[in-house]
Amino acid sequence: MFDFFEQLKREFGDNLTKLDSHIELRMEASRFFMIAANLKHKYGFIFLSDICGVDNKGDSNKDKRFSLIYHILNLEEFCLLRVIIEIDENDRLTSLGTIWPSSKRLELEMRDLLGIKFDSDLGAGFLNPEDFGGHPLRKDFVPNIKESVSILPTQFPDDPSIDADQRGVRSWVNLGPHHPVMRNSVRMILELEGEYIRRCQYETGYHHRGLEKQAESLSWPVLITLLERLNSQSPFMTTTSWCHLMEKSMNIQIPERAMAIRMVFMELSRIQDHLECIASCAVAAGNESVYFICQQGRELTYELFERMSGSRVNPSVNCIGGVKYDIPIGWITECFEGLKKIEDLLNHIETLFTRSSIWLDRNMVSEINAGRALELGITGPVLRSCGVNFDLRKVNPIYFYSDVEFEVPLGVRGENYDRYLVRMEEIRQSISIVIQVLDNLPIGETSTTPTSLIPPSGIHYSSIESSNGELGFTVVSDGKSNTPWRLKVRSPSFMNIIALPEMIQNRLLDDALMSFSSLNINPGELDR
Amino acid sequence: MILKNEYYKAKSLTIGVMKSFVSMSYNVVKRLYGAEKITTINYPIESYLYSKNQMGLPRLTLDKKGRSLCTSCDACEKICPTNALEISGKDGQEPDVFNLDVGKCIFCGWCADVCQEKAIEMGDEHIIAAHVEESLVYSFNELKSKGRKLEPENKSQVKSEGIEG
Repeated sequence: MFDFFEQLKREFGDNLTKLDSHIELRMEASRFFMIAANLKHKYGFIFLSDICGVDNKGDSNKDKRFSLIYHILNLEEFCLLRVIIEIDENDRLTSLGTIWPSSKRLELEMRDLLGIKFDSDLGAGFLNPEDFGGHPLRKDFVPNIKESVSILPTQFPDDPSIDADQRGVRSWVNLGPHHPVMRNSVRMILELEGEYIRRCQYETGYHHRGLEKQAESLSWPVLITLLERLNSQSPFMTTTSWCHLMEKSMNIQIPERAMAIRMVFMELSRIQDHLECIASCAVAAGNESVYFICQQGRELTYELFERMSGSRVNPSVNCIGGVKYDIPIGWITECFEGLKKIEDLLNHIETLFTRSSIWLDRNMVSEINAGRALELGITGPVLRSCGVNFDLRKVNPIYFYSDVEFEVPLGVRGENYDRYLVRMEEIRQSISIVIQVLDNLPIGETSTTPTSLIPPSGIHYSSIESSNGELGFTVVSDGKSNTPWRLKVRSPSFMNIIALPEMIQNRLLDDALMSFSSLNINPGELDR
Repeated sequence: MILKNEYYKAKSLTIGVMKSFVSMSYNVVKRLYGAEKITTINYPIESYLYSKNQMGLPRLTLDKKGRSLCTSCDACEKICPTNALEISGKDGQEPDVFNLDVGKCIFCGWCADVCQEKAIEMGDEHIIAAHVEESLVYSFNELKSKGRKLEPENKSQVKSEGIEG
């Protein structure tokens, strides 16, 4: 790590500063786009994790209109590089799509929501209609709601590589968003040749709630209530990620018991979310019995949440400085019993699905290449199923993740079947983590009173391994006001969906739904 | 941990059929004669055991004479993330208007946390239904009739533990 920093320092000089958790690089916009390829190929920053655009209007310290914050990761050294560039309203940005293909979707989002101009044509946006008239994340945005709907055309532009005869046999199918497997999240337009999918486009934005804009009007402590509603399957992950960021930025040491309780609930959420994914895969394959077995397992975790906090879906256990409630008496025994039952259910699913020839035939499709997955910014079980050993619980452990024993399951081929196997094994590992933590539960307080509620001025970023992948928050605070200046959610589903068109290309129409559900796209997390 | 190679090999047909038959008959026997015959409960006749941390509808706390402890300080109205509360009145006195829109309330508990007088707390009522939208807005008198009367010694105890908002 030290040598690596020295090497970087030699090239970038005073622009580079080393902080606790990351390296910060401030430079001119034009120079950054020249060295971006160098950063990737020479220094190994192959993974673009997030881009956050900030509108500086009304901030007297900044002389340019926009700041852009890039978070780039070197996976070998686990070194997080934060690049901050500033641009004016009329400057045109260079798209980084050729270097980090994952950046294209993030840039499109910035163009729609902040009105940042690019020198190349990025294609159609997915959040604002073309005649929306304004950019919602700008500070001077005045809502002017018009009745306007612009949706993707159901027909594709002509493919020049095929002749007229072939073009004649192609047809177009509209799939979703009102489909039980797709949970109203994505609309897919497929070009079919017979039963094979030749081209695919997807349209998101059906669940866009303007969470990031709304966060700018809520005060720091109350924000947690809003962010809990980001992901409906594992809300505890979101609040833990947020509380971890707040505690890290304000230097709050939470009690050990709170850390342990958070770990237990994070792993229970992970079990619940993975079971939901397997259930959804089973429904897409037409297997109802495994769906109900998975729902039984989810009922057990929901019951555990309910016994703890009184609420099934949004447990509201986290608060800044620890957890609100201690574990109730008798809860630990119930938890062990529940985990035992979940393990039985897993064995049952394994008898029915693992190595079953029908399940293998249906699922040995839609592979993602490991290199391509990294380029597209995919994280979580989907990335691990390709064989990339990247789990934030191992490489950047928070709480007691460095003390508990668990293994990271890695797939071989990156197919749907690998994603199923990885999720099954991760549930088993999560059960083992919960048992280890509950066996050694520290005693003492469950929360501390935070000394201040407003994070210091500057940019803060932290991320945790949620059930779908890297879930992080970028927060810009001015250090005085009661509301955040800008909040950006780095949600795993938002990035994982990029792989979908490549996965289902040249596959059967039947496989499209199974591939979609194996990604475990959560609509709330996808559109925010 | 790389997944085992044997997971990728299909089971032979005989083993597959045998295993699924055993699994099926085991589950049929378990459902018919086992302890867990029924997984559902007869709700609402049979009530579920709720947690003591459960948060229901916010309710007012009343003193011995049935007056609210509220001083119209507006702290709860300001912190409410969904703007479910509407309060107006002279500072230091009982409010003139105190409306709670149950349709907006998400039972998050911030109003109870922020109240220095402990005039509002989270109750346990959570099964709420109405025919028209207007009847979801509870007025001050309605809330008072649902309020909880504090014992005198209990009140002083609660007051000393007040959290600063």
